[in-house]
Amino acid sequence: MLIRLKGGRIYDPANGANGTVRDIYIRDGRIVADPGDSARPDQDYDVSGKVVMAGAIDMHTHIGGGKVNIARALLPEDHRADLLARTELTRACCGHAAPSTLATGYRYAEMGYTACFEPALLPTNARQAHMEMGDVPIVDKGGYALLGNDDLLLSLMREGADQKLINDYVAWTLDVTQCIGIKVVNPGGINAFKFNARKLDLDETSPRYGITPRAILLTLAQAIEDLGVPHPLHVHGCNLGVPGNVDTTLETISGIEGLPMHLTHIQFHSYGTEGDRKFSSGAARIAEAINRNPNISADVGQILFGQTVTASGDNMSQHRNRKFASPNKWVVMDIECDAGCGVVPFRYRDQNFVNALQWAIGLEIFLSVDDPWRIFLTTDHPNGAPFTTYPHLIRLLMDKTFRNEQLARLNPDAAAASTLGSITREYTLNEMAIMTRAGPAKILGLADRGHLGIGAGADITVYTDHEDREAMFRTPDYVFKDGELVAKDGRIVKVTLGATHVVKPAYDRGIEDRLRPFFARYRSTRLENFAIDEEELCECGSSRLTVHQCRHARVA
Amino acid sequence: MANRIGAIVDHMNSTALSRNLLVLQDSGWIVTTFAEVRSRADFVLIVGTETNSRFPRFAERLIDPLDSPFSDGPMQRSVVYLGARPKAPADARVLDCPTNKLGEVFGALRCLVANRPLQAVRVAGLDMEILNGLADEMRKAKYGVVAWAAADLDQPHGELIVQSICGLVSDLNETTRFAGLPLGGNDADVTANQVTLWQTGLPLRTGFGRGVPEYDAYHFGTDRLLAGRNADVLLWISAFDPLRLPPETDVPTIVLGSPAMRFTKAPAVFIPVATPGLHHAGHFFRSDGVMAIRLRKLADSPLPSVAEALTAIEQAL
Amino acid sequence: MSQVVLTLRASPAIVVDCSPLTPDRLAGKSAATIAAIELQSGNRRLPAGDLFDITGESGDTLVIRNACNKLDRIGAGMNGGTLEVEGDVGAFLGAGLVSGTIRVSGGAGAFAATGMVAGTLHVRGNVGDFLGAAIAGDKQGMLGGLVVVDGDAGDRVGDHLRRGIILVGGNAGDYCASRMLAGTIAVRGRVGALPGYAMKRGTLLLAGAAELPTTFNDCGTHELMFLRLFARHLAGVDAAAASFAPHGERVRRFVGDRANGGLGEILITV
Repeated sequence: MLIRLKGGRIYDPANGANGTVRDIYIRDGRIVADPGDSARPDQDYDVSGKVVMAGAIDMHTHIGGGKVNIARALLPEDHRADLLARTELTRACCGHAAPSTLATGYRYAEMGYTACFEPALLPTNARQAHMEMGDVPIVDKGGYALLGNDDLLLSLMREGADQKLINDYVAWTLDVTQCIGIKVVNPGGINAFKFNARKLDLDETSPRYGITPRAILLTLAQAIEDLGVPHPLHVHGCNLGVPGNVDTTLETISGIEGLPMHLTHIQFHSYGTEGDRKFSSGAARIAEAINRNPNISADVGQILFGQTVTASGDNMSQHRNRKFASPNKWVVMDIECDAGCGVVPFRYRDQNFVNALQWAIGLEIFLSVDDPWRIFLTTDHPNGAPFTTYPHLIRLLMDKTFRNEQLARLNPDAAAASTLGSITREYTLNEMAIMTRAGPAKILGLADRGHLGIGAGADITVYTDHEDREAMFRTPDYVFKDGELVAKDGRIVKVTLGATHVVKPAYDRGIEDRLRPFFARYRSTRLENFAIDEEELCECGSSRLTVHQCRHARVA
Repeated sequence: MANRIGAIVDHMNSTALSRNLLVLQDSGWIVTTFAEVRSRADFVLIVGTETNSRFPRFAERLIDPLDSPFSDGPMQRSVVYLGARPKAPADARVLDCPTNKLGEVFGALRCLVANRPLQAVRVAGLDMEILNGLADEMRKAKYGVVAWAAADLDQPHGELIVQSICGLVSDLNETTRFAGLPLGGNDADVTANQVTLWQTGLPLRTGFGRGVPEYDAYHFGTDRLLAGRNADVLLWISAFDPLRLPPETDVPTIVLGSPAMRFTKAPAVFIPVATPGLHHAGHFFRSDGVMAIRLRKLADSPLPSVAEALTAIEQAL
Repeated sequence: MSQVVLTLRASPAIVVDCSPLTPDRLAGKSAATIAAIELQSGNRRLPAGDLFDITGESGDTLVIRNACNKLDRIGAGMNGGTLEVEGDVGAFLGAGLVSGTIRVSGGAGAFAATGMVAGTLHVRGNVGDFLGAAIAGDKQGMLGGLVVVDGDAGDRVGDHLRRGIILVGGNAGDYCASRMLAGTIAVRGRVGALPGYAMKRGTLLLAGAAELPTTFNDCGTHELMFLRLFARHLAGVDAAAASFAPHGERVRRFVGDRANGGLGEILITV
């Protein structure tokens, strides 16, 4: 079947199109070249004057896995207030802070998103995460496997294992958990918390292992580099949320010694200690460091006001944050000598000085990083706000007047402590297409997503160019997933299954002989039962496994 | 199916399961998993009577082994059983206490741990001296664990006991590390709850009659629905255990169950089904509620899986 | 004074959600319009006219006659007016009541007055478990107003009670005032096991001895000014409430639940 989108204004930064008017042809789920006058489209969509972009990609969103389901269990009252009715096509479910998997898929697709990446997939919990993601309809999924607090890696490092062995362990983890990247959360800190440490600084040695977070970061970043995994090490650094952590973050940037590194929800790591309340913005210093270090990328983790729930692997920080739980209930878990998690509901209040300044810090970072290819639009769903707030966030970035109106409503001391009011930058449509499409695809190594070139998967979103960017991005006219129309005017018209994106770097299978005894003795699962294969993924609801190229095969 | 016809989804074990769930929904908890217990716990308090019989390999796999990646020699691990005549090894330390007094015992321990003075000299038949010793031991543990099976706390409002346990664990974490270990998972109860949660956003005892999900932890329990005649048909699924028969009711009953089921009162419809993990693949959450295990197909069966049977029924509607 | 009278014809098979039928929501509606209002019953929606005979003229009073325990959510979310029920009612009576008065001549099911904000709820018969309590997930039960039950109440009266007054003329079940945050509960009869369990603040006033949790401390006998003020307050409400006024001001005062650091008080009149 041939589909034509006729006359749209194309924003396709990966291929240099910045509002270029041209037709797009789709056949068998892919974008194809103009087949010429003889070919008559089976479906023709007149999109003249409309804005056409690739489907959006959320490169950091907590959509599945144990901690998300704990968040769901924790908050029936939040769900009762946001019910999605059954339709002919969609099932009855609940949304808001920790939406059901079904609501997640429906609402992402309705907003023009076609791929979502779960950033904290515990290897131990990979099976549940893939089951949940399999039940997130329509959009493609992928996961980042958590390492850096597992007793296995820390034991190997303590024993002085050489980098090659660790590379094999990292590659094996990616392989058996079916992930596309590696994330480290509070390196060594989650593990140290199990030994009753309450904080672990970048250069503090961990209990039992005597290893610093800096060493863990370097070791894992080196492994990613050696293995040629496209996505840089995805880092949730030390001291999340602690005033003064901007220094830790800057040290982390310099400490990685030029290796590629992605700093996630960097807003939560950009706090100074100036002022009467000993809480200030470190955004300018962070943005300057990102601008200066081309090996560094970041997503913001913007906060927006209202009720949400914070869900993180960082149980050390979450145990500290339990005092701010609102409503007052929270979960902290230690998990399988592998990792941990912490779930704390939270309500960000615009009249609260700290919350208001957090809001401003996030926006300052967005607007002060020069290169839109290295900064990504996230709220760290649901930690800063639910993903359904993205259209509002986009308007804040694209509309200075609107932004300043919002700023004027906040806690006045916070507004006064921020430089935000003096920033005049407004993101362009092209920059928005970079930040939410081309950029994420590039940094994840998704060759056929995030752009509209010939051969790309036909994940396409068509918007009406509305002056109110929130309205525009909330309700796209058309959303195509792999060439099928899945949403029209913000309503689901077809429910499909998405693919799972992974990488498969080469490694020495002999690593399993090294790992097997540890699993047999100390883990409660045998190594043989740990791995997830493609057949199982598809049983769980994935349409297919899409393996992306690593930069190079490792030299044995 | 429930979404399609507007039914209520419950599980045969959900009365027990809800003792934990209601606590999670109200105050949350600090919990741990099997591998952490095995390698880290230097103190384990096992609450209830039947933990060892419900989970036969619990002690053998998690409590008895004393080698640890974190200890250069064998670990020291204190184990205490607390409950109504708990089934424990002959040489075990046992504190005998009626189930309906467990909440007060944990309340007293919370006071002792937090140095809040109490006038009581005995709690649930246990001298304060004994409880004080226990509290002291808990405070000094480096990684302590309290394990319980919600099914063992079988009394009205048993969740209040669980909440006291979790409150104590939370208090202990002010100065040391401690964690709860809620044990469940029988008859795929945890599995059913996890899947219902992620697909709908609400746990078991969620109904779809209104076209949107509606959760009612109290009225949507199967026993209450049947007793009040607020259900007009019961669909009972028991693919694992032929002994788990539907409750006696005059509400018309359809059973999807093991072909080995023997009924005292024949259901209106009986559809024999295959066994997950024997005749077809599937997934199952382990008894610590965290690890999902893959069930594999080991043999052929002419019978449909539950999913196949339900899909066929739904298509025929 | 004009009123609408809804007379239930027969007990419905499956519980019916009657929350659309409150005096404020029916104000200005004709009998035909009311008859067309759809009510949820299980997985079906039934027009009110299929269940009730509808007479009278809409005003600030609604009367439901021949009621039975299959009628749930009567007066839920009601904001103003008077709702008189003749007979028994089901669960969630007066849930989230914002203002107005609800009177039930018979008994009520579980979770009466949950989330109630203000107003008055008076039940002449017995009520089920969780009177004025929170539903699963909610951190606060009843938020304000006055509840009077002439008969017995089930377990967990005032669980998570946040504010307001609950008066029980008969006996109350187990765990009365569990996890109570604030407000006042008075029980004229006996209470079941462990009143005040996990209580944080607030006052539970009992007429006789009770089996308190061991984590309450006895603070001795006192004359409390509060009781005189409380009696005066009740006298000012109505006769039903006034009958709960404690006799005298001498009480034995217990404080807890110390298990969770609570400073709630259980007062037992002496």
